[in-house]
Amino acid sequence: MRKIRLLTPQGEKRRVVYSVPILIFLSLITAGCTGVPAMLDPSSVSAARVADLTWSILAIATAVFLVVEALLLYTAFRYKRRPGAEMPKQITGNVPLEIAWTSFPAIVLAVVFALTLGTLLSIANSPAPVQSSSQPTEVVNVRVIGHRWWWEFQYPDLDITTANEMHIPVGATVNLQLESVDVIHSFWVPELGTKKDAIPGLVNHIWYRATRPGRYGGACSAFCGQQHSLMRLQVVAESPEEFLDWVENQQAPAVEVTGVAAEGREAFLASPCTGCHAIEGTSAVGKSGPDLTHYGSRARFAGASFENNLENVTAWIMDPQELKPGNLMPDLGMTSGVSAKIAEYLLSLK
Amino acid sequence: MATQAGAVSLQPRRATGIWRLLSTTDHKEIGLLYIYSGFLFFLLGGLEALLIRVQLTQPGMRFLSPELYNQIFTMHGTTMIFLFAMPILIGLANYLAILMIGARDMAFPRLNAFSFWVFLFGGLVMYSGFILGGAPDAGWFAYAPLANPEYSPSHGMDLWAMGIILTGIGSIVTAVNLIVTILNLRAPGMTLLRMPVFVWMVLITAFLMLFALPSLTVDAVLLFLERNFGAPFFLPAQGANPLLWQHLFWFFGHPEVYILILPAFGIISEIIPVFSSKPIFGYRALILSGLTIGVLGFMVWSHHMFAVGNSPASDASFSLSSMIIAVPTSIKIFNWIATLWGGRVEFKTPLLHAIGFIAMFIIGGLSGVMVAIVPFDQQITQTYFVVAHLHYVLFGGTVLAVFAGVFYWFPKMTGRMLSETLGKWQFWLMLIGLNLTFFPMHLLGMDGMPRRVYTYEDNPGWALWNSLETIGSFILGLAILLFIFNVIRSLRSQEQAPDDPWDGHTLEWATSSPPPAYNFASIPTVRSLRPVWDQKYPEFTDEDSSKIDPEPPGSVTIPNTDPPQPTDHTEPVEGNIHLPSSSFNPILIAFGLTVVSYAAIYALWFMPVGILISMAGIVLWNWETP
Repeated sequence: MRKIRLLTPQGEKRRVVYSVPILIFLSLITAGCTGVPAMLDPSSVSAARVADLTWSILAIATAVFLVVEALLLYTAFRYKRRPGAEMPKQITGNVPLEIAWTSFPAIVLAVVFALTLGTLLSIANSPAPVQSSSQPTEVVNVRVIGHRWWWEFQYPDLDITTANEMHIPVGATVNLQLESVDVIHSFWVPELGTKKDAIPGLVNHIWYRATRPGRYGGACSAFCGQQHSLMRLQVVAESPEEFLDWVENQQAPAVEVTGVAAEGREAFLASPCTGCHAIEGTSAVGKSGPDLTHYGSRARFAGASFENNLENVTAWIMDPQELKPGNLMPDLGMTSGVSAKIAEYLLSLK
Repeated sequence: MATQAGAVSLQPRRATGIWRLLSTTDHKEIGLLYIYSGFLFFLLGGLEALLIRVQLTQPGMRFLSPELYNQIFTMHGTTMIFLFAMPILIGLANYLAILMIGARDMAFPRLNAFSFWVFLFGGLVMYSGFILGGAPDAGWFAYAPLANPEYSPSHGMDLWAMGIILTGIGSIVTAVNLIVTILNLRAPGMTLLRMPVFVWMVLITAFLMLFALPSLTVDAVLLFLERNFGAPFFLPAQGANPLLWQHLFWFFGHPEVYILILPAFGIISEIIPVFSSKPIFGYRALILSGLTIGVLGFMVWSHHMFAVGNSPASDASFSLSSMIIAVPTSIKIFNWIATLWGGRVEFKTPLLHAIGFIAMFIIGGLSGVMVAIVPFDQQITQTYFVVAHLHYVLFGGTVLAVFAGVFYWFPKMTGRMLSETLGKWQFWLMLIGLNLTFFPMHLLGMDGMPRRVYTYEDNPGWALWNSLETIGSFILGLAILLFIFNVIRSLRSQEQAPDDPWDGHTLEWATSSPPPAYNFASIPTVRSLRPVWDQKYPEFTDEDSSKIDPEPPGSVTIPNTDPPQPTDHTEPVEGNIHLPSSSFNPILIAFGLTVVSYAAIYALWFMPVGILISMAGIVLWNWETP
């Protein structure tokens, strides 16, 4: 506040006039403190191209903004009515000026469109056609299937099915095939770029090539009903070696368990859970809910919304409608004891 | 107002009190009905916005259930677009465009009343969901298949579809009415190129409504048939394509943006010259750019669909056409600045709002070009960046322009002045509030926050921005309360506003405040773009005087406002003033259509009753004397 006053000793009104650009400026500064927005901190080849384009566009937009706003405010205050002001000249127009300020934005926009087209084509033309792959560290194909309200990831070449957490190797071309079983969802990971809709009855494609390892958060970006908010996802980009380890682990059937977990296994297999969830190597073969074969290997659950720990999972099994109202997993009336055992079992499925 | 028209009582059969309200055919009264109802819906939509903001103050809040939250944001969008912005602009057009062209009423006054009632009932139908077991909840653009009963089981979306059809009928009928009126009922001498810019923008908007709204109405009919009779138009499981909905919707939806902004451009183009004591700069350029925007507006709809998987060639074309629209828009901004340039600028509330409009619209326009950039849009579409952009256009743009217009024409419409001091406070509160509320949304969108979420990731940066936004929204709420106080205070004051408080240019300032039922005692003859100005300042006419008819200004033109002498209260007045008589048939027909709507949802067998009511209205209408 003190800063604002120093800039505007003339009085109340002036201070408010200046406060608007200063407010905007301060928000940008604060934005700097809270970090660069995710889409401008890219971790894939295509997202980096979009980020480069965005910086150029932001520079142009800021320049235009400053020039036009300054012109507007200067004009308004410069010609503010003074006492005894004479009647102004009654000018009705000026053709050269009209031509000038038609051409100026047209030229700026031509530049913007050229930049747009360049980036658009460079993203659209790059690798792409889905090819079956024997080298999972070079090309990975993933079927991304949107469900209300979670993501299913199938690796057809690797025979892996998982949910909400997608693993990809850094440097490989990742071809995503987007589908939906119910309503329109939209697959978006800002650091990796290019969002696309998962539309029932249609198939969409996008590709990524991650440039650095990391765990990237994403979300469904098309309003898809009651739990649109909790339809998030995580992408883990890792070194080829780590990825191959992950693949090996995911391809194995569910691990054998002992102790409390084994009791949980019994309870799980005897419950209606198996109608919707599959655990490979057991009698649970349901397909409408997330595959749980390696449930314990995932960091988050229920649309990557909650941390995957004993407390949360127990609470979820006891009453899934409490944590995520409206989700399609019914309340099965499990007691806290049984829920804890099942949770123990599921978390042991690394 | 009531006393004014009552004393003159040029109309043979005119009810009083509430009956008068229900049966009026006076374009000014209907205009006010539109404005008041639009404002009430604005308060409802604003209340919904505040509920949304409270829920989002911090992550994980449980202020609203997800179910209710979805209903509230759906109704917030639906209300602000269909029940506030369009009606209030139609109301201003109804009231002012008719005065500005020197006419006595709309070409079809009863149809005008019908348009209003069918709009109002449509709005009430949509809102009735809150008490009938579930309001609409699929978002204001109701994407298929989310709007299908399988995913949205309450009757909310049926009520939404019916409400959209009803309000759509109202808008289409108004469009025809405005076009016919503006093209045929202009005062002698008012050529098309002497029409005020506001009237031009209303005319273009009316054509946009005429061509765009049927697409939405068809979409809503298809949705209703799919939901209630299993007709597969959008369901992929039955071989249909959900994208059909989006194409039909946005073919309406993008021209709709210009339906909401062109009249705002018109308002600004009236206010800036008056408060600069200059004629508008580049009149023809403003008209031409408005026409260009109107035509191009139909060629850009697919830029709402850059993420659905269209070909790069299609995306590039729609990107180009969307960017081109920025050219005519810039032309307008430069012409407004040039109008201020060299003028005698008076910072009264209308001008303050107008300058605020330009300043904010520049931001909305720039972010608009950004979202037209396909690769950028494929990152931020359906995120808070888009929410920021659309609010800079619709709040920073349309809402500020509406307030500019209301401060400007309030004395004309009510005969009372609004307080300048309160108005200035309100303006600065709004400007600060809207930037605090909407600017951080740009950053949140770019950082990964999707729109339409009831909660978000537990992230300190996001929580900070969201809390600031909530504070901003309450500052906006405070500004609106200040406005309401200002209006009530003025309406209760006894001080009569002058007929021409701002030293106006156009014909509405040539009659009394408020105008009599017949608007002008004798129809004025128009010789230039600024008839009232040229009468007051014959020595300061336009620099280019070739645009003014040569007759000396003093000889005729602006009529005085003395009413012609009515001979008898029950007889039509001599002197050829013909005013439409009031009629209950418009509201009757609209009511019948509303009954049809509810019957279609809840009890098909009851539909004939509604049809009969409407038919009765139509038959009785035909028996009415002119």
